[in-house]
Amino acid sequence: MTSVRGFPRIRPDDAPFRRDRLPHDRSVLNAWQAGIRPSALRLHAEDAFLEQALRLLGTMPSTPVRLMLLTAGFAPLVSLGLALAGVASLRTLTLLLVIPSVIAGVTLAVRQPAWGRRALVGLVAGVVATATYDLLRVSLVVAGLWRDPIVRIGQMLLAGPGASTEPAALSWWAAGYVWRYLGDGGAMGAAYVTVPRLGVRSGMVFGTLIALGLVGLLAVAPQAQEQFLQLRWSTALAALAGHLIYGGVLGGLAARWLKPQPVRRSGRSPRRRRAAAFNRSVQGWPDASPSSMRSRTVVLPSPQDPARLRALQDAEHPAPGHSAPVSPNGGVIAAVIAAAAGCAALGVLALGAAANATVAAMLTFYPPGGPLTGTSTLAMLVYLLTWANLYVRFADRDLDPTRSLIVTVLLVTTGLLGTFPPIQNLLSG
Amino acid sequence: MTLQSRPPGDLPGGRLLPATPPSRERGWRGRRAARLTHRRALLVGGLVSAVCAVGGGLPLTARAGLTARQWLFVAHSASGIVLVHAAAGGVATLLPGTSSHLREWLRRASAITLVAGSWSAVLLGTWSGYPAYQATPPDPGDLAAFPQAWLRERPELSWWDTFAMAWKVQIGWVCPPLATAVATAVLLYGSQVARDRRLRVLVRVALVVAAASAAVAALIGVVVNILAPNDYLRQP
Repeated sequence: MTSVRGFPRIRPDDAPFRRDRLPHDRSVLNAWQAGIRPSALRLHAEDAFLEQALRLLGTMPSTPVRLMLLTAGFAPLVSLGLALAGVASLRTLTLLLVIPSVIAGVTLAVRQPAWGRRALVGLVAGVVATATYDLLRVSLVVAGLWRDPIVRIGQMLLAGPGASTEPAALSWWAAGYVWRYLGDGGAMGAAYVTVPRLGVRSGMVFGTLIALGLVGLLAVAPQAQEQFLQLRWSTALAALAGHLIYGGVLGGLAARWLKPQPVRRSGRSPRRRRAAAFNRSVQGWPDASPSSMRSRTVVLPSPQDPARLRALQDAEHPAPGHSAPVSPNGGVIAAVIAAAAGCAALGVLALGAAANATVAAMLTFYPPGGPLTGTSTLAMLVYLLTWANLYVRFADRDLDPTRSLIVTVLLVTTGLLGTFPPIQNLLSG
Repeated sequence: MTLQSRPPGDLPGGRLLPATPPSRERGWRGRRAARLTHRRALLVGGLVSAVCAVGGGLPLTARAGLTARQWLFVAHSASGIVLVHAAAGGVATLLPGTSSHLREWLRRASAITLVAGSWSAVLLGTWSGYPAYQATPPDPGDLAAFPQAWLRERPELSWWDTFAMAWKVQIGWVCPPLATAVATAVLLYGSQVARDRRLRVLVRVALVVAAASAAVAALIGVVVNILAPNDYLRQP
């Protein structure tokens, strides 16, 4: 059922038809006959048009630019990860990945100055956030709980992987910290500003994903533990806490310094095409496409097509049993999607425990029960946190159940596949 | 020009008014069937059964002198039985599109029981039953109290540990969150679910997956308990 907001209507029996006040325009006459005031129709169409036009003007061309900035921002971090995993030396990866990414990023910033400014602000925020993170990390290093692995980055960059680690040259320290602040923290800050929603929460999610990537790398590649950081519960938790601080500060600063930039689809997706066609054919509303913005025409329902007027009238007077204001369905959808997310987390954790002995040992919360105790506990924690988060977001909203069903089926399938022993055996070899 | 007037039963858009609800007057057969399946009768029957089961079962099991492991295993098995029945009740009442007072009552009761049974079964199983099941035997000769080692010793039965039991303990955890989601939908958002067909499909999918995972876990648990010795339950 189409929803039409704020549509004043007079019934023919409420307002007696007067020939002397008959409008001249046929379409308006037809609307009048259908019981809709022409001025209300025109105002509503204008409102809808202006609202969509303003929404369009408030965004920047985005998807390719975002993807390029994300790629460029993560290039140093990915290079470091690949070097630690033994794929290639950091110097080779710098030549192959980092330098081309920097060139691409600078070119992009010059060609798209608005995005360039955003990326610069993100880079500054990332550097500040890294410094805040280092307050925690350096205190742990000073307390002797954590060794400082940053010097290893400088050593890999300047002396190569085979060089002796002691004594550490001052240049290694300098190169390592420049890489950390500009390459890792700053570049990822520039990548973060491509996220449509900036804020402490999204920043913390961003930081958590980076921390999970670090822990995953250390779990999958044992040589990375020797070179960089030993994977233990204490180090994993400290890394997570540090990245949460990094993400929170980054998100907070970015949200303070920048306006959020919602995603604008560059092409006309099938969904948008259908919506525009519906608007045109049923309601006579213009869509916010560039061509209609240029023409700035407001199309009223055609007098030859009573179905259009009937559609408007239906929106005004829906059938009994359907006319009561429907309370939002976001609560149900939040509960179901969160449950499916818990299932997916269960599958992913079970796969991780089957594939890697270190992960299995970390997930063994109660040794007689094995990794199942940690897998199930963490998965249910994910479920509850997701539910709380989605409930806050969705409780007052009306969402598309079909799309939610697709998401739910995908997540549940992930969970079922992850818990299926033959697939676990494939990974564990 | 004349104003278009609609017949009284015709709604905008060419729809017709819904048909008048069928009369509640039925024959004696219908009235009798309604009395037999009245929700109050079901409630009283369920309560009487529960009181008999608990009042009769507790003294009997107390006299039997069950160990703590046996008590926990009884609770786990009972939760599983309740869970499977509640899932069946939920499927029977939530899948059909029609509704009635009895169906609504059964739907709510099934949802609550499904949640309680599923969480209780997986928590007891994971933290109590499974550790005892996979305990390492100190003496390789006597495996009667170590079901996992006993199954692995026999090549023709080892599949029940490496595949079946490994699957059971993990897929069982799929049920509680989905059951909770279904219960939330039924208990807190019943009107929305009843009104929106697509929302009903979403909830039905969650319920069917929850019920299927519970059924798989329960079935494997029953078979493994039959195949492998469970002398470990006698240990305190």
